[in-house]
Amino acid sequence: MSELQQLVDEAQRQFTICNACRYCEDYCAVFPAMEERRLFTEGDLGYLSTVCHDCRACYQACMYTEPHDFAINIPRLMAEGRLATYERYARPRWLARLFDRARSTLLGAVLAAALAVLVVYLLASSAETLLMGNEGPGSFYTVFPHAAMLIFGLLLAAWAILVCGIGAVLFWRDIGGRQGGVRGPGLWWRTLVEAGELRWMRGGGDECHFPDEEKPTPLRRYTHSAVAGGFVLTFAATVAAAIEENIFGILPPYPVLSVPVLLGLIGGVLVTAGCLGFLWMRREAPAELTAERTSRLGEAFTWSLLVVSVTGLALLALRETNLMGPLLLVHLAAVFAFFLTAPYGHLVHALYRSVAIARSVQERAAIEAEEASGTAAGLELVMVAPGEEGAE
Amino acid sequence: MIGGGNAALCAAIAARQRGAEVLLVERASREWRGGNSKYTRNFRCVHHEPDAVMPGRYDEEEFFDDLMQVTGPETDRELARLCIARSAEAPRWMEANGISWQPAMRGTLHLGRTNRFFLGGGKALVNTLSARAEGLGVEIRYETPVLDFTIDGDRCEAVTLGSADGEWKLDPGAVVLASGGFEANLSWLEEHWGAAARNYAIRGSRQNDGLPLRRMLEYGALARGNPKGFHAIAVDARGPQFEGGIVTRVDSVPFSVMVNENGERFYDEGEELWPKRYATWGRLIAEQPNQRAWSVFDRQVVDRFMSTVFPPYRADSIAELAGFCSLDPGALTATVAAYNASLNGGSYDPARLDGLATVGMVPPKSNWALPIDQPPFYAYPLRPGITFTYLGLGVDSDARVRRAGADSFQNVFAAGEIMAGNILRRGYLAGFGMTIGTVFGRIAGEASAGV
Repeated sequence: MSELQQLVDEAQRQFTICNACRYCEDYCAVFPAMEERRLFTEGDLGYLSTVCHDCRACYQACMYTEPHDFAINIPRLMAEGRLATYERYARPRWLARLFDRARSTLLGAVLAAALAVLVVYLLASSAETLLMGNEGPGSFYTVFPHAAMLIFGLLLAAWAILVCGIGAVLFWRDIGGRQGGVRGPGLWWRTLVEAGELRWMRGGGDECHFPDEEKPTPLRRYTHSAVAGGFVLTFAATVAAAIEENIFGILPPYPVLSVPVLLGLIGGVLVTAGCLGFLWMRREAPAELTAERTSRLGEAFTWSLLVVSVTGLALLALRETNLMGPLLLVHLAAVFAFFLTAPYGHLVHALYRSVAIARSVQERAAIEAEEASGTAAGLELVMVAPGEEGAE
Repeated sequence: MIGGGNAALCAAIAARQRGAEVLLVERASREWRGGNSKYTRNFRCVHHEPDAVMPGRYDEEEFFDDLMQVTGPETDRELARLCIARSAEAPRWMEANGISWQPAMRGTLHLGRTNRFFLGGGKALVNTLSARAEGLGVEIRYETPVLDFTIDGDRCEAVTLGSADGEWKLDPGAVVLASGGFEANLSWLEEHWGAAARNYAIRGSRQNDGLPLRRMLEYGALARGNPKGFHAIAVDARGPQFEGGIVTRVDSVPFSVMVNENGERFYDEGEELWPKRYATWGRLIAEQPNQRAWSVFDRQVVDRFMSTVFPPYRADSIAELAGFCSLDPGALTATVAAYNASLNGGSYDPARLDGLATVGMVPPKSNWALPIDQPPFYAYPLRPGITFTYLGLGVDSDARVRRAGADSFQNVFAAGEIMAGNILRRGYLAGFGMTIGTVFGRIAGEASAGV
């Protein structure tokens, strides 16, 4: 039996117990979706595990966790389900194995990026530029040519968008999104809101039980928002820089009090703080509530992003010294490595989770409509009303 | 405080808030803490106006009438009324101690008007209250069973506790017993029910051996409630002997015919709407040979009830199905054939008593009697699952344990399942066990702090 089939069988076992219990149905969107199904496919596992935000509220509330024989462990199952989902929709297929080897993948990407940066530098720039420091607008391009930066950036972005786009479309089809009810801007807006505010990380209102299973806090939501928000700000900084350069004709480095630098600075600080927070939380969190390989994937991502933002901040801080050249090269290598691993790393969770949330929005709208029209499983409601079945 | 469930935790918090120094001893390990409370989900309370989670109103009189209907007139009316009256303020107290509620339930016919549901259920509640108690300075010791009491007249002078390092004696100012019933004590059950008790599933905590209850009865405490009585439902026979909780419950009975190990029917499966009858089937199955029964149905109804933790047996013929159930194929086939031949052919409506019944069959099936003739055929193997026992300690309105033929103990209190027998003589109201635990936990905790 394949590993994936074993995982689907285990999901069937655990979800069947969950469906006979239903105490967790108000923690998040996962359990109501589970209740709509009795038999679970690979696609269902992908859907449910990516809607899951790993808040672990269900685990602390579950009376069937180990040492109980039922050995329910939804957070771990979902962590495995997410990784299996990333692998399943990764294209080309033979690169799917990169997910399982997060550390080697990152290391390989770093070496490749460093080599590429070094080769370009050696070919295009003269040795004395390395330690020349900031000599005004255009200094960065003296060390590393603008054209190379642009080509690398665009190629990597195109690659990531292509691979992720294929994965998202395959996943959306597999989980029934094309047949779903709600569509158009309404769907995307609700998805954006639910994903953006991390609604399903709130554990039904009591907040997230990560890292400390027993003390729910909003810490992870804040940390995640710092990383995601910071990431968006640094992206905005890049766009702003492109506008300055291409529309206003001003070449970098830009002064501290300029839009690109301020956006990058704030974004970089947020990402750095968030990544450090995640590294600390992961160390504190109990290992049995996650899958080791999923954890490694997250950790590789965090380190990669941390190095990008720290080298970026260092470049800003030290650009007036003669370390500007070496720091620029290191930073560029870090950025290229990050984007090289993007379609085969933890970053894809944002993509699959958004797709799954969109499907969940569709599904909940359909259930609401059904209930409003009174055609819901009226029988079940009358004979064994939800609540009554658990209401002894 | 003796026990680790809702009643003990409420007592501990209430006593600590009154300034008492509190030690809570829980005989279970930390992972298994919380007694039967961890398998609960909601509690019943009076409320005079709708709020965020409860629609409508539920006043004291209606609550009291509901209780009288299930438990009959022998209840201690004074304690019942006290419990009901104090239930009104309980939610606010629970919220102040960290409890969150599930939003109003979906669906049309539900318990939302009378019951509040804990977000995440009973174990989440136990986690929250345990953390709250510790935060207030209550000391909690796990794996610490109570072995004995030293009683002198109307006082408890000492409590003998077990631990990994051996026995030790504690000399508390007051003791609150909140250690539950004796449903997990198979040899105690055997005293009343003989070897049949070995065939029961115990749905809750395997720790509930009722030792503190038995000791206090030996020391002259007043007994309350039927000593043989237990609340039981039909559970999947493939479930665990202990700690199966909510998920092993099977709700297929009204859609099926129920047979015993002779392949014969034994009771009207369609007597009443299921929510009113689910708790009678535990006792009915307990009365069958080897305490076994099988719920047999066909494709027409397979998706009509709550999904179950184990899939039903499935076969293309009744005879083949009998094989999976270890029943005599001839007997089961004959029972189903006789049933199918006796149907009056009315119209089926699961939402009400539809009068679709058997004619001339003994026992009858009075409603929802669809033929069982569309393969595949299905069956669940069932056995009785005990939820709790009724025998408890008599208490007064301060939750002080009463003595038979004498004044109450001065410094011994009881709360929760161990004294529920004062109020619940038989039957059950959804969520009422947690009401008793919360209300009398607080009363006992506060009164014990004043000793």
